[in-house]
Amino acid sequence: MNKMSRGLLSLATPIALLGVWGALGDPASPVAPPPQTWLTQAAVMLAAGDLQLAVLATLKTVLLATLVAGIAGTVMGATLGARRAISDTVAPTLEFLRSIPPPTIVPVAMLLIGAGTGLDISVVALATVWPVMLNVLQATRSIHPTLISTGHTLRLSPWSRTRNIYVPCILPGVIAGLRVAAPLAIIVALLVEMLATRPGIGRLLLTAQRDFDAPGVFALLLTVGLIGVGVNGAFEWLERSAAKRLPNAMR
Amino acid sequence: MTVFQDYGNALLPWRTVRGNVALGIEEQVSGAALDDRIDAALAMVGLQQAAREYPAKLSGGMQQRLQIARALALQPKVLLMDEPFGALDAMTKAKLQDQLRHIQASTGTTIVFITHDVDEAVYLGDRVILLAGSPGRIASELRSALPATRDQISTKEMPEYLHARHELLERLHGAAR
Amino acid sequence: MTPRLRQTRQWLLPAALLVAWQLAATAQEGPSILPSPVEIGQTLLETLVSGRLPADALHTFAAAIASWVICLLIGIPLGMALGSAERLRVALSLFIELLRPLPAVALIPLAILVFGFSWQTEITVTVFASVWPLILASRSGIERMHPRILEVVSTLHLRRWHALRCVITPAAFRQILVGAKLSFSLCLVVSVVAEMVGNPAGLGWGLVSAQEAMRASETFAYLFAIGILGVCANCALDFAVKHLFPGLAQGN
Repeated sequence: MNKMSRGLLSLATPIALLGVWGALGDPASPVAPPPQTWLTQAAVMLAAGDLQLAVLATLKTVLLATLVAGIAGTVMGATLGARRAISDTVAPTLEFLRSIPPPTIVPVAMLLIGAGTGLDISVVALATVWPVMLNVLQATRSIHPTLISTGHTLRLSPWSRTRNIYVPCILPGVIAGLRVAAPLAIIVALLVEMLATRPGIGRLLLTAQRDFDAPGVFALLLTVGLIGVGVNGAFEWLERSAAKRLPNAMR
Repeated sequence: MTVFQDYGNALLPWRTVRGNVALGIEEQVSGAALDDRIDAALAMVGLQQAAREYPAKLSGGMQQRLQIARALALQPKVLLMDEPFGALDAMTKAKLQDQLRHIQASTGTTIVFITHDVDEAVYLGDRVILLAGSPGRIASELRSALPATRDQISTKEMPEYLHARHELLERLHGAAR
Repeated sequence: MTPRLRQTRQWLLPAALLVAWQLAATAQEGPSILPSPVEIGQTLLETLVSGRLPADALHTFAAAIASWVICLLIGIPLGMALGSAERLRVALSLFIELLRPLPAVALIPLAILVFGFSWQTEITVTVFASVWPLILASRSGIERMHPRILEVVSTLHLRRWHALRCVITPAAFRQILVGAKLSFSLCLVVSVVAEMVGNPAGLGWGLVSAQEAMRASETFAYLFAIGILGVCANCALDFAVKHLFPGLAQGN
């Protein structure tokens, strides 16, 4: 099968499914409304302004929280990974903390941080800092000691050492961690919006469900899917361009 | 019924020696009859002692014998062996060659044996068929003048052996030209 | 540094953190938002003894196991079919890539629409979220199988069902097991999340209701219980696998 027929075949299944659903589905169905109804409902939500606001709110939370988690995680990971003594001591504790599923942290974090605008971003950041920190810690530990010695031998300034040795070595770890953190951030953000009734798609979803608005629920699911694709795609692009610019020989 | 060169990939590592031999016949035969067939096959290749071992514990030669035993358990009329001893060391190869002739004599199975080793072909074969070209066609055939009972030392010194070997190599070079 | 010294330091760290936490909590003035470890321990004990925590834990665990079994029943055959039939794999590839990334959280409202706040919601969402690793791993197990195995099946004239049961599935088993373990951890986590939003029962619900009632130490206690359940369940699974399938070490 050549590439084109593969593409067509794989495209055929979802299209066929949607087509059959659209043709045979009952628009009034409380649980399985046909795809056309989703779009109509989405249009309604767009007209009312709800959809855009929710998308912006969720995106804002996700992106800002990922940024905060990225910075905090990098700093913590690099600090803990810098000395073998420290990273060894910390290892079992981190293992234990890592086994706590991030979504379950949300209620505890809500209690500690309290209501307020900072809640979303703080909670999501708290939940997503772990992948970044662990990846950066690992990357820091695996900087070959010879490279570090090279930096000293050449009498490079601390700034030069950081820029030319440490950053290129750690950067793939940072990006790998971000790539895991971003989808996690979406999940946790939705959860926070649902539990704390903060503005965003999560809250819209709950509202739609309470109003028995099945087309709305589907339209929002579609939106979540699109956001996921967008965010994941962005971070995958980031990973690819970083990989291109950093020499592989370093790894 | 084929016996493959890469016995490592052809055996089931999660089954014991007995289990591997049983694979081809367990759907048709069961109970005491199954056990008898397995025992007979293992006896023919001399693996009775290792019956409860896993293939990973066996040497290369033993693993290949296991594959042969599995094939024999089906009591095939024709056995196709695709360079089965190619991956084995010289001494194991010699032992297995003798064992194979013995098996053929006792079961009467027709064995089609593929090899690149001229000595092996002459030593083992009752008929040696030379293939040439791609796709292969039969270039020539040699009937063996060697006796039915052969051994690694005296047979290889017989004039008939050396003549056959000479003939085969010449034809090989001729076909290559 | 000797192993003993390193181990001592490793244990010293959490101990020191706990002590610091205790001091910080007791030093608070007025109504404390941060409960001390001692308080949390007490609450943990209370809920254990009263039977509420064990009941909740049992519910979550049962839901996770049930979901996992369903994942096994759906995911393994589907994955193996995908690995064997090229056309099927291509036909479903886009479909799977579109459905797989959907977060379980987002699916909960839909499930509530269909099933209401019930265990069906919990299990449906959990299965949907956790079946993917099994499908992909089973598919990979078949794709990675050495082609020689298929030749052996044909040369021995093995019948289809016999071949599937005795040769092909064991050959793919290693990969399938990896997927099954991953799926199991997911089942636990997603069950808890589903309970937090979609089914008022189990540890997730206990966690959220404690938080809504502002019972801080109870919230922490439930969080701790969830973590412990996860660790124990996964350890138990590893242990079971090691003992049920010792022959896995025999595989290549």
